[in-house]
Amino acid sequence: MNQEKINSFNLSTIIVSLCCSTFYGIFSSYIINTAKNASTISIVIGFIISLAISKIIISFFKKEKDLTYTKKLKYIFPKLSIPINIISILCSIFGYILITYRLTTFLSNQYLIETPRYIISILILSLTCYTASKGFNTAIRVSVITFFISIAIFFFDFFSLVGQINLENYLPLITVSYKNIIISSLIFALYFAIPLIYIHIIPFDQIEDQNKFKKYYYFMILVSFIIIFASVFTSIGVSGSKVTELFDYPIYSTLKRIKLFSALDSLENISYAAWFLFIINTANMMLIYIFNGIKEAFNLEKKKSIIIDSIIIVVIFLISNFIFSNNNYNESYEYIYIPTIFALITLSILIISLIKHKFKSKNKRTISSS
Amino acid sequence: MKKILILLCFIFLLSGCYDYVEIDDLVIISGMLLDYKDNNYVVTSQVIENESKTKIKIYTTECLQIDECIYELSKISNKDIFLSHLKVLILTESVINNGKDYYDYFLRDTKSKMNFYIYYVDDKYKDEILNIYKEDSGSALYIKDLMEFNNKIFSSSTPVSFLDLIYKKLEYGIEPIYPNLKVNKNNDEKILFLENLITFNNKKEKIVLNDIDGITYNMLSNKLIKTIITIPCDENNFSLIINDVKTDYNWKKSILKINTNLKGKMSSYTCKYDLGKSDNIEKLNSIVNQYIKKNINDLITKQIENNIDFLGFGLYIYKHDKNYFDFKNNNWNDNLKNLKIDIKVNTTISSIGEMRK
Repeated sequence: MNQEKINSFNLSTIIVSLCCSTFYGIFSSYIINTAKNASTISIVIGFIISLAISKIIISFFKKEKDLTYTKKLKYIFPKLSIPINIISILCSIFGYILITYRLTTFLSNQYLIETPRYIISILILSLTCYTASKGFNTAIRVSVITFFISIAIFFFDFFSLVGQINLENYLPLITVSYKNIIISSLIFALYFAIPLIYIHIIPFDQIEDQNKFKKYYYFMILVSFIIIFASVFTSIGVSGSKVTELFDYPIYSTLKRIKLFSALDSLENISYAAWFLFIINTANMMLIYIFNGIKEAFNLEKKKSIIIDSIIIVVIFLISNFIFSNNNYNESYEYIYIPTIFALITLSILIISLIKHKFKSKNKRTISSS
Repeated sequence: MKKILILLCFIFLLSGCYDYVEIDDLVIISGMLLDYKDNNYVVTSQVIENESKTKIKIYTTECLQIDECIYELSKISNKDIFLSHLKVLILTESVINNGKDYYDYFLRDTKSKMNFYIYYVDDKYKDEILNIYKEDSGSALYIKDLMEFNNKIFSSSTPVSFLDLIYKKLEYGIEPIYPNLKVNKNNDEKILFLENLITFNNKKEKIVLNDIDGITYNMLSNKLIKTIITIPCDENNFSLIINDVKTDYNWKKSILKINTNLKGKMSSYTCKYDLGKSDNIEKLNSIVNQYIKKNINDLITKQIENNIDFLGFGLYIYKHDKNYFDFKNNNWNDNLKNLKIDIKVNTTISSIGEMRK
């Protein structure tokens, strides 16, 4: 493993990519369809819930500071570590398939209509595999660049569209049942916060300025929330929820309204590049976790782990190109619920690990004091 | 070397060679006229073709679905279709009234930018509307300029973007309104002319808004940029250039309150009142108030008589008091006559021009 130390700020920039990656292409159409005008309320409630999940994640991150996530699970569950690590890795594989599949679908629908989807899929896979093979230092460097690009894009988009917002479009604020608002908030919280678990691929000890990390961690979560909230707020404010909910990529459709100096248009394609970068960064982190996780869980040698990693890449490619060969809105809409199950499994493992770790440290202290 | 080879592969794959189309092999649609005849769509497209020289051409295709017509157009021209450049979509009465979801294709197609503008054309002009100005940049681009100019100077018409139309079709309590195009003759030369606004009620009857109605519509929908109105005073009249209008709505105790504030500059004056006296300016303000109020009343009466809420009063009420009326299950337009409306107009003549009297 690369032992180079990481700066707190640099590491925290990955949080924006992790939190926002599932939003633009996957979750946005679901939340606007489910909560309609109350989408902004759903996001706020979801953000509050996600803060609790983020707290759990950072608490676990600070435990056993010299270990990675897989090693922590190994330490906490000495007997059950292999099945638990396998479950965690499977959840990550599914997450990777979902986000790269949506990016492939988008690219194939909007830009490369004639190009076979598997070519786009190979490109994304190759890119993320290459970055993952270079280790987390490279992934973090990419995320720092992404962070500044995405913030610049966000401000440009927001200020280009803010003049078109009609506040009347948020009224009546609640047109759906409270159940819809709560369900979409809960799912939002899971989609928003669970990817944060991938910061665990770096042992806490490898952070240079550890005392500053917590501050940056919550700051970046807040930045991610502002980006998502502003995107939905602007989309509904500009087009109204009834028009926005028509589209599979509602934010992209809203961005189509940006026009500079009455002549420059098609700027949505540049703006949506932020989402591509978020996806690539998250996919990088997921792959690093999958590759390192397998190696650490089974104590594999370099050669063997490369073979298994290659098999996993082939499996991912086959699943995303053959099982998910259809490409329609209903399909992606239904997929909203399946990742939720994986996210809940991941959250459960995290909570149980945290509780078990607490008992383990208590027992350790009792033994050492006696 | 291995790395360079991999990078070379990426250059070829990433640059989208697979989807590459030469501009000469594209037929760029800039304007489209949709007609509906015998359960078929008739699509007349004004296209830009780039060969040795840029040419404007007109193609007409007829089929069951719009996308089919577009593919047919591709077949005729022997080129790929480029829809993203579409600037103008002109609809005929039969398309609007036959209730066909003609807009579905433009929402669904990934290459549709949805930033084009909608117009209405009467059946008698539909064959020639896209054929004028074929030598220049084409009628579609001329129509775009026509609207921009009208909007800046007269505000008797209003631009309706495709997404505005969809918004009005989907929301409760508002009906779409269309800018009307026609062909006029000027010294034996045919020219395109932007008439005022037009809409259709549930009985598929055409409701035409005149100049004053168009200006009043823009005042009430806060879309007025600049206009000039001539107001009678005594037996004479005076003209006012209006460039600042704000209409506020308020829904209280089941009464819709409309409050229009406007500022104007006098551009001509033949009335008897001495403009040197401030009392007379106040008198003129109140004359303008009464005149605008009457125009607003007339427009609302037009709405009620024709049973169509194109001003969107229902939408405002739905947004502020959704329980006032069962918008989901009942037709709001039928309830228009029961609506209590209170109108207030407040005019400020800010300048009387360069003359003191």
